[in-house]
Amino acid sequence: MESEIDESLAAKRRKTEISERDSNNDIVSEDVVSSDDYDTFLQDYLNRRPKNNLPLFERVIKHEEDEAKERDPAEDLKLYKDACADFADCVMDITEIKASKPDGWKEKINELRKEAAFITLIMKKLNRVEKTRTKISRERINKERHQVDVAQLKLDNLLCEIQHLRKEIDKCLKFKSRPLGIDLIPVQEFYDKAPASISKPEVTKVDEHKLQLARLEWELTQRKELATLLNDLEDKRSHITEQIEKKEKDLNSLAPLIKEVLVVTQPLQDKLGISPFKTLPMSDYTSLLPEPLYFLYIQAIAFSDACDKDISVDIKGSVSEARRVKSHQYREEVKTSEEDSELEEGSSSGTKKNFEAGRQKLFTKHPLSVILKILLKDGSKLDLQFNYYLNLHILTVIPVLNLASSSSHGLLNSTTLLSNLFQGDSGVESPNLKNYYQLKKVGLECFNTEKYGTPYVWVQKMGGLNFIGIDGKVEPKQDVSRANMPVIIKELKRRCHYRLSLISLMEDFERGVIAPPKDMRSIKLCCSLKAWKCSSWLEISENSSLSHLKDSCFISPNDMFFKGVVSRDDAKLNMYISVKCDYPLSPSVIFMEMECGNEKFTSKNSSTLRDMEREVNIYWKELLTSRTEASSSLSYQIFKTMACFDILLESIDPEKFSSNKNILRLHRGRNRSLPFKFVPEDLLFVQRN
Amino acid sequence: MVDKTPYNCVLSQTFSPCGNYLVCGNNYGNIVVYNLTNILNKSENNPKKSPSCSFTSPNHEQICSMVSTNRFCITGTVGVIYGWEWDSLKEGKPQLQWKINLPSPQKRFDQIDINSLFVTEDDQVKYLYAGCGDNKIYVFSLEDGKLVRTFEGHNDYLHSIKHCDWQMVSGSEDGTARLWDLRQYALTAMVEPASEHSLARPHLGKWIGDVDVNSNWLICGGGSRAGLWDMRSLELSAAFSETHDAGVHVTKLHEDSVMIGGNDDFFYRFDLKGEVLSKIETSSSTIYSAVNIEKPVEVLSLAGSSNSIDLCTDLSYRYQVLSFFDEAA
Repeated sequence: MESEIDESLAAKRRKTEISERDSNNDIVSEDVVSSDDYDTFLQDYLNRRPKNNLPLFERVIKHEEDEAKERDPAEDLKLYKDACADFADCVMDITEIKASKPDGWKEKINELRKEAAFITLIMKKLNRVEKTRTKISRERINKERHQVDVAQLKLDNLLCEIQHLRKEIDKCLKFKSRPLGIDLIPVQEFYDKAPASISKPEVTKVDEHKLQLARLEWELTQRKELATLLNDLEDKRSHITEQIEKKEKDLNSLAPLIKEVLVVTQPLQDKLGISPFKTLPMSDYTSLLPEPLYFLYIQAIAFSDACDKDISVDIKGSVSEARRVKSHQYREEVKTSEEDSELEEGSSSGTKKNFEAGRQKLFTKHPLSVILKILLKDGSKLDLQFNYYLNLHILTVIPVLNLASSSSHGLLNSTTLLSNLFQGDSGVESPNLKNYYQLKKVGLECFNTEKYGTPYVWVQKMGGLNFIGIDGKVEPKQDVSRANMPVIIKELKRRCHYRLSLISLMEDFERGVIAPPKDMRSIKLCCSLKAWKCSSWLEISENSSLSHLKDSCFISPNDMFFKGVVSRDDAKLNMYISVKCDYPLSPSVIFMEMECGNEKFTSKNSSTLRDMEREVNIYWKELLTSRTEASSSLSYQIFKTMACFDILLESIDPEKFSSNKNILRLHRGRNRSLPFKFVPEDLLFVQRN
Repeated sequence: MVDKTPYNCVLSQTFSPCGNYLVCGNNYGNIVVYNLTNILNKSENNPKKSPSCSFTSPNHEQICSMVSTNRFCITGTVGVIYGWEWDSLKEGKPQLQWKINLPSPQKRFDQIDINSLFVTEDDQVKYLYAGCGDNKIYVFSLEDGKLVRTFEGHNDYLHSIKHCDWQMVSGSEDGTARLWDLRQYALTAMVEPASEHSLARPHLGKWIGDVDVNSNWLICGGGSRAGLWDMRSLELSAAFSETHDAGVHVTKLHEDSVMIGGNDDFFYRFDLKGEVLSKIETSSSTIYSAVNIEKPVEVLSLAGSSNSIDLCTDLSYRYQVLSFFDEAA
């Protein structure tokens, strides 16, 4: 039914539209017809046109829009509700009438239908008005919203700006110019001292900033002046040091001369009865010496008389004590067996006192000792003090090396000076097998070499004691002493000579001077030796990154250890160097540790360092061109290490560490080995294979 | 005294065709042969861990690579490839059967390392492929030792070459791994690990230490981290970042896993997604060679910069350590 109504309404509307349009046309045509004055008509028409040219539909819409604006929505709502109710009433009525069908029900229904149709019209109208209203309010909302957005944006921007400004302010507040760290002289002093060209009082008195700048400028000039002064003074100092060194050298060279003069004038002194060096009649002493020392003494005297004038022999100690010992000896020999058993009992009871007494008895030294002095070519002196231990029946030696030059050095350490003079003769264990048990009895494991001297095998041989045999009792024999004396003296001299050259090498290193091998003289190093110092077995075994070395067969606790630091920019290479006692007969071994940032590399975790160590430690012979250079082999090894380090650094960062070495190719082979081998003919570094 | 033993470096290894012997070559040109049957069986009562036979390559050059055929143990040294008869090696009386000289280098002092070798068989003719220090890959016929073919294109020396059917992959110091078609002798593709963000390690360089290939995957590593490429798309599929931040020298594809070694305390096995399957502690600070066989027993042998060679019978732990030179008494 509703659709019916709708249709009818739509039809009605169409009709009205058409009629209105028609009427419009009518009006126009009427106008055309009725008006005489065409111009007036045109004017009229044009005036009306804006209204009239709108089609009816739009005009209706316009009208409804206006209505929507003017009418009260609440009222409309009420109206609508009423209309709905009326419509419902109509429908109900129609139903009732249709059901009861009273007279004239058809007309009544028609009436009611018309009424209902009108109500629908009202509802439609209200509906349209409502829609328009919604549209309008929506538009308004959009507009408002836009305005709010714009405002919001503006606010944001402003907030941002505020923050930025705040930051700027903070920055300005925090700004601290460098000069604040510099202590400047007081303003008054500044004006007094600084020249007007810097202080510029006319400006600076007014402008504080300018004043600050001027004071800084003055500070700078003053500092520059001081720097130049420092340089001058340092120059002066080095000059003076040089002079001192020269003079010391002159003085040192005087010493042998004076000695010679003394020797030459000896006969004259004798004649004149002047004896500056009191010499005791030797026969008194010699007869009191124990047999081994006696053999040593007379053989050394004989050797020095016959072959070697640089050797002198002397006896030291108390004669009276020696006499007492000699007279006691007979009695003691008788007693020995009894005492031995006593001693045993003592140790079994195990008190410390007994140990102490036993030790003291065991280490009874003969009161006399022989001093052998060997004068070396450069004026240095080696003093050897030979002691004899009565109960242990061995000789020991305490060496002291006195340098011609005054410098003292850790290398003079007596423990390593004569160690391994002959192969395997480290002096740690006593060559007298009996001593082991004797020492054990008093609770000792080994000999305190620093206190009692070292019982090297060669020392025993010098005293005629040959412990090689398994005989129970070793008697000193003169022929043993005689046979060994020349060899031992020669070795002693050679060892001292080497040691002295090693010391001069060390002094060079401490100054950062490294002599290059002959072939590599034209090679320039980019890195430099920054530090050189003595190290020790303890230091090496405590360094965790070198833990793999402790078990290495290359080094032993008897060696001398050094640490050298090579660096270039921020790259650092620590060299741990083990120098054998018999350097340069056995080559030195260099272990490397590279520090790179926080990481430490050694041959344990870097195959490149492993290669470097291989190059330096195994192929050291290539660096020597003749036998005479052997004593500088350590220097050559270090030079080679540094050259290799240059190449290593270049391989890490070619731009930062360009080295000026001639290299054919930087990497070769699956192990990417670096060119560490040097080819002298072409001054070229190549890979080794 | 300082001898060479502590600085020994094993660069190459190979198993005999029967799998009972292991041959290793070092940087001094020494070659040693181990009898694995003795070593692996007598495990209970103090096995002899030293070689059954040791000899020296004619010119004492480093033994850069090795490969074995049915008859010969082929060693690639510097400029020369030698063929040793297996039977003679097993008996302990090494017999040199043939040698192939590489074309002489253009520059003086420039010596050509033969860094990688493999053999292919084609219509009963065996071809020996050699990846060399002069940036080229040479192909020799093993019938007459003649040079058959040369692959050129790399800009720096070859570290490793491997093949799978008709595809060859080569890894070079120049930072590229190239794929070649062995049928057409042509370059087919190229990967550059250093250009992958997840692999690049500029402080170690871009060189490639080792490559390996099968029908599905390509793996390579070196200065860059090891990475796995899908062969069809040549897209990086996995990066192996568990390893120490140091050079990689060995990458191997093994069934569905990947083995990686190099300058590291461990030798790693990963699955194809990059998860660690196992770690083996190694005696050498750098592993340069890893070889494995399945028969008669599964053995993996790891060698590198030390006097020790690690033998693993399981792919996850070290079973025995062999010594190259007898330890100094």
